[in-house]
Parts: sequence; structure tokens; C-alpha cells
Amino acid sequence: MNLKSNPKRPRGGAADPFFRLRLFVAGDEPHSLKARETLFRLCREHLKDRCEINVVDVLQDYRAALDCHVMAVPTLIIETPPPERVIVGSLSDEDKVLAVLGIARGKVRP
Amino acid sequence: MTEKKPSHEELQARLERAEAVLAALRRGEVDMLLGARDPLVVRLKSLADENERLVREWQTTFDNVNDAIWLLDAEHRIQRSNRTAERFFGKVREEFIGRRCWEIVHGTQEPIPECPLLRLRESLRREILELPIGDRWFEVTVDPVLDGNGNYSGAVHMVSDITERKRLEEWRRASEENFRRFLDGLPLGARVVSEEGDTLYANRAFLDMHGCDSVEEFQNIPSRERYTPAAHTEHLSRREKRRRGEYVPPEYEISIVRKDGAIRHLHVQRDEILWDGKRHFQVLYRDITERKRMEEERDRVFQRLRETLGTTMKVAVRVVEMRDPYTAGHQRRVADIARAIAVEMSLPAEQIDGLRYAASVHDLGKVAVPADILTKPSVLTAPERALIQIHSQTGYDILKDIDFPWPIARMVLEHHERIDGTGYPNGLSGEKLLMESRILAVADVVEAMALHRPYRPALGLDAALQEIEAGRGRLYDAKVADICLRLFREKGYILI
Repeated sequence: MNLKSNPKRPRGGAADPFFRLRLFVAGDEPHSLKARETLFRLCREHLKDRCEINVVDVLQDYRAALDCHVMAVPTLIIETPPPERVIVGSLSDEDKVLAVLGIARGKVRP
Repeated sequence: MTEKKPSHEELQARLERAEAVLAALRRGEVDMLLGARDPLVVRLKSLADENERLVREWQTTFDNVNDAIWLLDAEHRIQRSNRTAERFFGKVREEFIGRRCWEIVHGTQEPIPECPLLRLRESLRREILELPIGDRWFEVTVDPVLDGNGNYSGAVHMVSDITERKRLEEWRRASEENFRRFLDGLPLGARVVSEEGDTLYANRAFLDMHGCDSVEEFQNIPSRERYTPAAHTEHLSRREKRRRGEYVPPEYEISIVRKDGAIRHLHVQRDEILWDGKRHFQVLYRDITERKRMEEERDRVFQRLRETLGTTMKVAVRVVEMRDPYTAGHQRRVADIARAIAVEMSLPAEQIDGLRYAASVHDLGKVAVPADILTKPSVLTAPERALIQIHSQTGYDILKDIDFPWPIARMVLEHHERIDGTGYPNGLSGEKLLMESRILAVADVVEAMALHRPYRPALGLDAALQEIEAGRGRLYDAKVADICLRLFREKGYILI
């Protein structure tokens, strides 16, 4: 499974970086479902069209997970902007996810 | 291909990622772990689900074990109870909780003196008590529960109904005791030995056979001295065979040397038994010394009787042959032919012995025939022939009251009978005639025709065999005739 939340890469200014995110999940296992739901919601609320989410199901494609040194799922890899960052788990700590993405709750764009 | 050595930064990143994985595992947020190189994955169930499942499994097991189980706190108050305990004591769970176990089990306000919990506080190790309540037996097992510092913090209290086990133990003890009493009073020697040959028990009769006062005294005599040399060799051979797992008959005879040096012969029967709950052997000994002595005496007497009888018969034969020199040697030759036929027919050795005996005296009845008729050098008249023919009956009358181990008298009586019933004296036929009589008839005709007679010259062996061939199946038993013909014609048997 390879889903893109926004297949068109929108143009953005230097102050609004574009996020390329890759989320590794295991089918419909509970933590994977939760991570997917949380990520899509946060992106919808905070990044609008400034992101591309690539969801990789390791049950279908484990090779991609091994190539990216993924040891546990769910794992979110923030590929761009650099540096690459990794969050392991069901993304239950949303503040931490936003902090890693460099987004503060107060900075939500209308 | 050599793997590129990772940089410090890469190693740092991997370490951070591993730590992130560990943290996620601790939070219980991981569905699956992936191998570093292989496509193997370890799927993690939701910890909560897993915990719930484990609790359910534990509770089900706890409730369904056959023993009544309580978990006690440090003051011996019941904290938890399983369903079996409810059934056991006829109370619902709530009636147990908070009460002390002795209130429920014994109905007392204080623990009973032998209460295993009192010992457990000291030993901090499993303690067990077996006790009867009503008409049943119970086993109470208590195991300590220790806190992190190794201090007593409670106990697992288990009550099992062991009535059946107790009954079986009691039954086994009683049956073994009965068995021991039975062996004690047995007139046969009885011994229980281990697989290694150690004597675990011996009754009075057995010790008396060996002239010993106790099992210890018996054990202290080396086996070499307990047996005669031949019996000791056999004993070692049996022991070696048993050691190799080979078959040894369960019954045999041994010859022992008593402490006073006397030799006794024993019949032994060895059977596997359970003794003190273990596999051993029960060996029964019957003293057959007296029986052996009587058998030997009987054999000696029998042998003497045979010899006496043999001498008597020889005297009788000599009397006949002195009166009838033409038949001198006839009986011996007939006996030889008859024996050769019987051997070819594979008759049992015992039967052949009887046949030879009968053949060597078959003309005994001629003692009653006037000597001048026996030696008359011309053809006999009808009355003379009739006188000669009564010799079978006379022989029978002389022999019939002698107690031979074979039907000698009947063979003598029937040696002139023919299988078609045309013989004398009784005109018996076929199966009514003894097989030995049928053989004797053929041997007698061959010898008589082949050699010289007072009233005619020898007709020769060929004529004799032709007579047998012509009468085969009519006058003479077909099988006997065939074998006789084969003996002379093919196997080169010669009349001497």
C-alpha cells in the first residue's frame, strides 16, 4: 500500500517548508491504525497541502522497511526537510509529533 | 563485498532509533518488530489484550484444578479462593475471604498443633500434612510466598482429597502383608530376590532346606558352596542368560549342598512379582530329593526285572531251538528284518524295541508242538499242519500274563494273520492287526521262504520277495511290503 495524501506537490515559500513523510505500518493492527489516523489528522490540521505522506504496509512490503532501517512499526520517518527524523510508536503524544515537525500548536495556520 | 564502516553520525542515529524503539515498546505502542536483515517479523499483541487473556487463563486454571486452593496473607487470612474450594467446603467464595483457613477446615479458632502453616513460618519451605476428616483423607500442602526481601508475605494453601490414594496404599500394604504371611506358612521353600540376586525375604521352609537359621547366614554362604559343582555351573549360566536378557525357563531343577554337607534336589519355580512396590522375583522351591531317590530305585528295579525277563526269554528260545534245529536262528533273522523295516518306516524307537522283542520269541509256542512234527522231512498232513498252527495261540498264552511295556503277546498271536483275514489263528484283517504284527508277518514269510525248511529245500530270496510282491495289499500290508522289497532290492539288505 502506498498512499499519497496529496499527489500534487504544491509550491511554497522559503518560510513554509514542504514535508515528505513516510509512515511504516503493519496492516490494520491497532497501533498502526492509530498512527495513521493521527498523522493524517495532524497534517490536515497543520500542514494542509504542504506535505506528502507515503504509507508503507510492512506486511505487503517489508523490504522498504529494512532499507530504511525500520526496526519496529508503526514508525514515522520525516524525510524532508532535513535532517531526517524518526518517531516510533502510535503517535499518541501529538505535541511531541508537532514539535518534531517544528510546528507549535499555537502556530496553526487558519 | 566488504560492508562500509558506518560513520560516527550514522552510529549515533542508529542508537537514537534503537532507543526510540525501546521507548515505544515500553509504552506498549508497537505492533510488530522487524529483524535487522531477515524478513522475519515478531508480531506484538496489544499488551492490554494479552494481559487480559493471561488473567482469564490463570483464573480458569485456578478455578478448575482438582485441588482446593486459597491464597493467604501473612496472617493466614484467605485472600483468594478457587471454585474447587467452594465445592470442597460447600461455601461460596465470599464466606472464605478474610477468614483464617483453620476456621474453615477444622472449625477451630486456633490452628491445630500439627498445622503445616506453623512450620512454614519457620522453614519458609513447602510443608505437607495428611489428615483424615470424616471418612475421607486429605493432604494439605502449603507453599510460602516471599516478598522482594525474602520475607514471608503469605502462603498458597492447597487441599487435595487423597482418599483413593490412601485406600490403594492401604490395600497394597495389606495384600503384601497377607502375601508375606502366606509365604511364611508355606510348606514349600519361598524366597524373594531382587534382579541383582539379593535375597530380600526367605521363609522358614527355605532356610530349613539349606540348614540355615537366618537369611543373613544364608547370604553369607558363597553360591559356589551352596550348589553341587554341576548345579553351580548351570546356576551361573542361567544368571548370565538373564543378564543378557535371554530366555530362561521359569521352572528348573537344582541340586544344593546343605550346610551339613547333605545334597538335596529341588524343583524351582521363578515368577516376577511386586514386592514393596518394586519389581522382584518370587522363587518357590520344592524338595524332590525323595522323589528322585524313588525314581532312581524304580529305574534300578525295572532294569533288574528286564534283565531277568530277558534271561528267561533266552532260555525259552533256546528250548524251542533245541527241539527244532531248523528254526534255530530263524527268530533272530526275523527280528533283524522286522527292525530294518520299522526303522525305514520311522517308527518310534520304543515301538521298534517292542517289535524286536516280539520277533525274537515269535515262535515260542512251538514248545508245545511235538518235536517229530517240527522236524518232519516231508510235506505235513492236514492234522500235522493244524498242530503246527496252534503255536501262535500257545505263544500268546505263555506271554500274555507277563507285564511287558509293549504288546508282545499280541504281536506273537498275530504274526500269521493276513490283512485280508485269511491268516490264523483268528482270521483278523486290516486295521485290527497291530502295525508291529503286520511287519512281523512280512519278515517271517521272507525269512521262512528264503531259507531251508525240514520239509523242503530253500526257495530262495527272489521267490520270497515275489511272494511278498504278489501278496502286497492283499495278504501283506502294502506299505510294509513296499519297504521290505526296497530294503532287499535297492538298499542291499542281506540275510545273515
